[in-house]
Amino acid sequence: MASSTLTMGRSGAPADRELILRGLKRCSLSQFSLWVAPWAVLLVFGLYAAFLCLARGLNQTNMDNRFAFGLWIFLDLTVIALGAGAFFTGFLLYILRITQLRAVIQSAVVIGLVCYSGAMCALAVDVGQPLRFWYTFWYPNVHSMLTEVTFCITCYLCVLMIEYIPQLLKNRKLRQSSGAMVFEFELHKVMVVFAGVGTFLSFFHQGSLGGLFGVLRGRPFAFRDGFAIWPSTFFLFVLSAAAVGPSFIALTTGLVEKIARKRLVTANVYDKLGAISGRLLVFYILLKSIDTLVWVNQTSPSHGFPAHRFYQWSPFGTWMLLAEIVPFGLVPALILLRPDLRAKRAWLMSAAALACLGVALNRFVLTIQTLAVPTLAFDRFLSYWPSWQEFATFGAVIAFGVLVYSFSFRYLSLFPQEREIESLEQDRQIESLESARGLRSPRSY
Amino acid sequence: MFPWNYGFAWDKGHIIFLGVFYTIVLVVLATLLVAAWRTLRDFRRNRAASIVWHENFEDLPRVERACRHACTGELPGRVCELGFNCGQCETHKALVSMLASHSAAPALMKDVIDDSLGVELPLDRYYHRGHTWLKPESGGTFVVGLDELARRVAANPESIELPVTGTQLTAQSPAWTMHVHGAEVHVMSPIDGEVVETAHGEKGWFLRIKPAQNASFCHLLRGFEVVRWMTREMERVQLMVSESAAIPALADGGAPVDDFAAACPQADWRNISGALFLEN
Repeated sequence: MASSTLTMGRSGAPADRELILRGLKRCSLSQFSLWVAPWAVLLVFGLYAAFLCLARGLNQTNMDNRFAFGLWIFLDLTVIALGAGAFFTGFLLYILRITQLRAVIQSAVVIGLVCYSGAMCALAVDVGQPLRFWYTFWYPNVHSMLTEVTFCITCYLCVLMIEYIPQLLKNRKLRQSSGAMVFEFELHKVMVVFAGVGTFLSFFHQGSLGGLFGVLRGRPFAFRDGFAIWPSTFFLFVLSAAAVGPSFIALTTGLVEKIARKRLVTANVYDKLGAISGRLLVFYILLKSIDTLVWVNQTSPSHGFPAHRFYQWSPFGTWMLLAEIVPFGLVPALILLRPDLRAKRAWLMSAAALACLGVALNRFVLTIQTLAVPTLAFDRFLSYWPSWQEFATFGAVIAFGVLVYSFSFRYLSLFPQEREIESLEQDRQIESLESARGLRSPRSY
Repeated sequence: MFPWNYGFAWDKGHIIFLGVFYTIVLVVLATLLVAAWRTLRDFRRNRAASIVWHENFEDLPRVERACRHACTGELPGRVCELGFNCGQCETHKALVSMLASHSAAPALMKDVIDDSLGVELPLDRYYHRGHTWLKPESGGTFVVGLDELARRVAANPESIELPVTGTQLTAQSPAWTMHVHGAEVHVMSPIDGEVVETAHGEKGWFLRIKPAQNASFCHLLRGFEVVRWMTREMERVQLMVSESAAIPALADGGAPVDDFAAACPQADWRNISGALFLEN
């Protein structure tokens, strides 16, 4: 009783209601605190681990000169691929004018923001040398794909922050300032420019992340032929990120609906996200399969490595390749392509989850398997298990994302349809009362 | 990054890479500056109040954006997309001219007071959907007050902050502020005009306004529309009370009490007053 007195206002409204937009139903402050507390603890623990890594160096990790990419790079590649929903939804809404996606664009921006800022933080810890972080910008190696990735991600993170500003300005407190509202209005009018810049930047950094594996001539497991200066992995990364982006938006929206126990968007929004994701996923799987066949039959043998050799090291067997293409690629794609299946929430969510796991597996293979399999005669199969500091930093990135999203969901209107859906019942009741009263002809005096 | 930095060379790689980078930075900064400059321009051209209203209006729930003709039952379910700016609405113009041809267009009705809802609803004045009324006076001024429903929801405001005499008001932007049920509520001005006198409601009104020369009355409700709209609003309040207090609160045929909040303290009156005064 004591806690409810502390946190609940009259009629069960949260104590922080002055910050919550009218009509948005949110749980009490104590319930919200219970939700964020474990994530906050995880974040603090992870920050401590990150501090150890930055202060004492990479000896805090289980990576070394030979196994230089580990859990963090896998995390970076995965969250950046999943965060692609932000740029791709912006592209579909502002440039292709698919207006149904207005219902999720704000959520997509927050997801993009947490994914990219989380990735940047993890990269900063991974690169180390915090006092020299600016060297990568000041002395760029313009021939390196990693430099392109660094510049593009930094610029895109700035764009995402700008895209987040209008949402902040529409908070219940800030919107009382007319200056904030007019700036929000004007910012919204030029949002198409930011969507265009975001698409351009995302295209290149998603591609370059894939490209940096594809150009590794010393790693024939990852090396690919391609077009002009770009290996095929450049295009596959762009396409896979665009394909799973909408799936991840659908998945997170569904999760938030489950946790908040309320509807946030209408069914047609899920349908649109599923349909877009399904079509792109089929295209991606087709290209991925062709790329794999070319690599197995041409690229790898021409470098003196029959492809089957790469799969003789347990646990990285051919099952991983098949899993990536069939259950985590083709199956969700086919489910998402069928309107009757994607109309069922369980099917849609399962397919979206499979698609997201598929892209995570793809990034895992390129990061970990590439480094693990031996390529030289005197080489041996390497195994790597992250240290607790690596796990804790990984956890901190996840916790940071959950916290930013949770606070944004509570205090901002991430789903414009939420209030519409809330008021629909009231609308229906009023209409039924009016029709019961026979309110159809003007009364005369 | 710059020509004077170690490692920089005027080669193709540097020119293309850094050229693209600086172009993107310039585009982003220029776009931000354009948005900031336009914001200042909006304030200089006195468009800020209108923009704020439209921004707020778009965020209101559907039920609060109901078209006046949906309230009367002429166009059931219709939602306004123009921020209650009926002067720009072709449908409204067509309906009004059609009703006028049958001498049935809504108009002010001197000395008519509707009491079918259990409250006195004088039809000699205009009503704004933010629950203020605007009564014409001799001499070209108007007085602004709260309608009966708003008066009963905000029966005992903790404080009232009125504008000073001479303040220029803009239609649909805040005219005065009240603290009701622990929350700040902005009451909207029904028209453009200048405040010539203020009162704290003791005279039955809050502001005396001299309308601006081009002040529009088109968006204000009048005549039979007022009764229909008020019926809908009372039902909405009853539904919100029922929902937030978890008790049935439908009218039983008696007259509404003077202070709704005192009669049903468990309801979420902050939310209800926000809904009546079109706050987000």
